[in-house]
Amino acid sequence: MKCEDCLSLLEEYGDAELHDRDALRVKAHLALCLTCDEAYAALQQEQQLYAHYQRDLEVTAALWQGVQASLKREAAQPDFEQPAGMAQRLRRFFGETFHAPRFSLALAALLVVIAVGATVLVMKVVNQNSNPAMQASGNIHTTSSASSPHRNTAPSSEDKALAGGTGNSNEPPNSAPEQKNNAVNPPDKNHYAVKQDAPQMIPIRNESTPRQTPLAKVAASKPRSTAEELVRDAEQKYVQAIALLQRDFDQRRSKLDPKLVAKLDASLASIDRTIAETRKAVHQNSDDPIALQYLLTAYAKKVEVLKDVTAN
Amino acid sequence: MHGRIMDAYRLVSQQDGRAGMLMNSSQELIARVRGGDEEAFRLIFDRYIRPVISFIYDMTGQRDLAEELAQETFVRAYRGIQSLKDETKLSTWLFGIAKNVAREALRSRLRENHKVEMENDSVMELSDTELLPDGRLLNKELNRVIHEALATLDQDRRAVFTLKVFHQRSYEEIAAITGFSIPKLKTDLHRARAEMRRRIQPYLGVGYEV
Repeated sequence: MKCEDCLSLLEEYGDAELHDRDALRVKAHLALCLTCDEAYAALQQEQQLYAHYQRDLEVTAALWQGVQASLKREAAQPDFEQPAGMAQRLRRFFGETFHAPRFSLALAALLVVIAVGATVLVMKVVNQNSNPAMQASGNIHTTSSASSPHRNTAPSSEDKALAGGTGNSNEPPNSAPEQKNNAVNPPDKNHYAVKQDAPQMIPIRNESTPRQTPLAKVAASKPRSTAEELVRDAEQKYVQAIALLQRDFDQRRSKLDPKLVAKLDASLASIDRTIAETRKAVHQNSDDPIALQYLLTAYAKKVEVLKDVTAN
Repeated sequence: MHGRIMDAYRLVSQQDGRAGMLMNSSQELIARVRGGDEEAFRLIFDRYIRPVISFIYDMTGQRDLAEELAQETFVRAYRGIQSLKDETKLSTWLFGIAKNVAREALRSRLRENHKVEMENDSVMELSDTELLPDGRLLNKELNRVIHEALATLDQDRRAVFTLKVFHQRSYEEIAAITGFSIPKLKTDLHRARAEMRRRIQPYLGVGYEV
């Protein structure tokens, strides 16, 4: 090694940032070259001098108190994002996703209706060869939301839009699988579920039916309101649609750019976590309209992502 | 017994990895803070306030401002702790926030035409003249010289120099904190060292050129 080369690597050598091979070469050169060794000694002396630099700073209790006071002040403000709490985390997630962190119940219901409509279309296409009774299970049934127990005030313009937009089907809500399935199946309460390796809906036994959703449990345990029925139906539809779309995505996975697949997987995992968290929230407090709307919006987001992937 | 506890405490205050083996690891503390545990955040504050405030002081050169900005750093850290992806790099993350906070403050001061008072003529006098060392290098005078020499570096070089020389951060960590590429930070560091060397030359026993 030449002195010039050694000197150019000397700082990195002193910083222990050289690769082993270069470090050994420098070390060997320093052992033989007095000039370079002196330069290195000077560098070390310089470093020693800096090591004794004192700033005369004092860390007082007032510093922490200042931080604490700022945090308390911010906590008192409505926009402050505390690190704790599921509600805050959910709000942050949806805030980032939709740039509209707060939805009214009516708006959420409207979103659900739109998303479910799209889902039903997908399912109809998929179920073209299924029997008529099964196709009927893909229909959406809605009633006026005005009867929702969550609505104690005069309906807003969004409420009115929702009431007008959903239509008034005279058919009973299709959200209770027992009711609709009893019409075509034996009374063993078979449910319809998506079979992973086939495009059509097939009847399967209770044991293999996707586990009962929190909303379904809510519905089973107490009298349902129209809004509850709506969201419960929607959840069932989302679960089915997601299973179909996920299967398509899995089939196309190998043809897609691996980086894109990785990103999509990360996004879907993030949405799944949100769904799991909101499920938990709904389970803990089944009357919480915010939790319900977040749950459904998370489903809608997953459907949207999967649809985008499978459509392209 | 007491000595051993003190040794353990000293180790804890040095690095994240070793700290985890002895006390609350950074990961544990972060998880607790995310769960709303303010006391855990207090522990993080206690662990990192000294290096953070030192770094900001090196960047800004003003004690009161450094205290204020260090507080701001921790407030931002608390607010953004959900966004910390790699919990093993808490200190790097904190330094990154501190660097941003310091830069913003310096920028706004420059905008307001309040030149940072670090820049004064005494440094030039020292480097050029007869203020030769009297054998007591590690004294207040030398601290002042280093402090003022730092002020003559531009912000990028000052950040890189401080992080490497005073805080012993690796190039990789400095790149993560500053956002600079490794080649850039190497160049900045080399030039910063050369400039600093020129300022403190009278205090060095050996004159040399690298």
